[in-house]
Amino acid sequence: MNCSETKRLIDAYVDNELDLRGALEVEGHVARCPGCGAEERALRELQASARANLIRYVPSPEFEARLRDALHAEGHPVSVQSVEPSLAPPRVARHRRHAWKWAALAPFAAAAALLVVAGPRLWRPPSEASVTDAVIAAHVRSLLANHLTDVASSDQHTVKPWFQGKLDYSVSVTDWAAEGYPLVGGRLDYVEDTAAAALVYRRAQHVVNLFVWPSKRVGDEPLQRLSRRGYSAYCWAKDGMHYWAVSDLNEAELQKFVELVRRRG
Amino acid sequence: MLPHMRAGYNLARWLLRNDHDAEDVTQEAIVRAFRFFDGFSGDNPRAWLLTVVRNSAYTFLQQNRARELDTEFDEVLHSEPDTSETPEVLVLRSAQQRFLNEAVEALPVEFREAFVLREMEGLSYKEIADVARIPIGTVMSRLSRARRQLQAAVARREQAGSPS
Repeated sequence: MNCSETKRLIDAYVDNELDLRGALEVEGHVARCPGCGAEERALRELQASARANLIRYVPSPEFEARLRDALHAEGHPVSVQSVEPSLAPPRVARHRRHAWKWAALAPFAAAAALLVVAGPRLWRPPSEASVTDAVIAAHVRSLLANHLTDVASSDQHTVKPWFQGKLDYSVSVTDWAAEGYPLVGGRLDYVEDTAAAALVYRRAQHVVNLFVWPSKRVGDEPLQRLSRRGYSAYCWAKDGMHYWAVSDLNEAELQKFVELVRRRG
Repeated sequence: MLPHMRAGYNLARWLLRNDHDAEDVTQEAIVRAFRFFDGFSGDNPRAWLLTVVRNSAYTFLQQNRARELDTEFDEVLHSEPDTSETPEVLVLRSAQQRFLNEAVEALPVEFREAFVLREMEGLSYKEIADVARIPIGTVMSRLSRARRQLQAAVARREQAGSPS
């Protein structure tokens, strides 16, 4: 990594927005280069100073009371209560008449909440979480580090042969331009020490990374949806390959993309 | 919801730079949001609330102070001193603190927004991108430019050698 690359990434580095590999590269350069090292210290000083010194403006009690009244006038008792429960006695009293109903439901609600919280963790194999993090980190890095593609081409017959010789498995590449997801290229990436093919698609301003690598487990795995830090991911395994589609696209559009890919196979 | 509303007010106050407008915009945003969405049940209520307040603040700026939305930054024009602080508050703050706050207030509104969301609310780049409806690369460049401008302001002050 050189100085100009470091300068471009150093803010993301001090904000902990780079993945481990990117962070290690910046860290290595910063340790060797006095100029970039000084820049890093200056940024961290500014950050610490901002966090300690910027004024957190607090709404006045009069304003919070006005806001509460305004929400009350809009007929949002629950919201009003959550603004300042102690100052809304009439509403509390009115709700109390129905309190027994909610009390009776409470154990069910607690059980449901537990399922919602614990459910995904119970269903997922233990290593899945770190794969999710690794895949999403690879997606974020491809956007931040401006390293979206190693081979930039919308031609599947250019992208597919490019991977041959770099990977010891074959990846099928399809351009979905007609369906609204044009192929923009391919990239070699790493997920958990495994070389993975990253096929890059665009949808309007958004990027979809489709990661493909050989599965170590036997058998297909059903489609799963996961999300981290605002990114959505779908993963599945089919015919000995893992597939991960990651994007900040909205739910419906990413799902449509995933259906295209799955239908092809 | 209360902590989120307070975060929303803080953002509006930083974007609009006075108490009165921040109160009006925060109230309007929250009331409208509850009227049209009937409350909120998604997975990130804080980001949602910051987004509605942010959008109302920009609408207010467009209607009332459109020149502040020019990306072309005129430091003299934008460095109006904040006169809404009471003397007691000002005395409590050191010169350095006051300087930093004024320097952030003098940033163009898009840079100020990214900086406040990052350093005060601790949002990730992706969350800032969602709140401000900009690509994640733009978040990175706005933050970076905000910091360079703040560093330049600090350097100028040190050169002048007079803590105001």
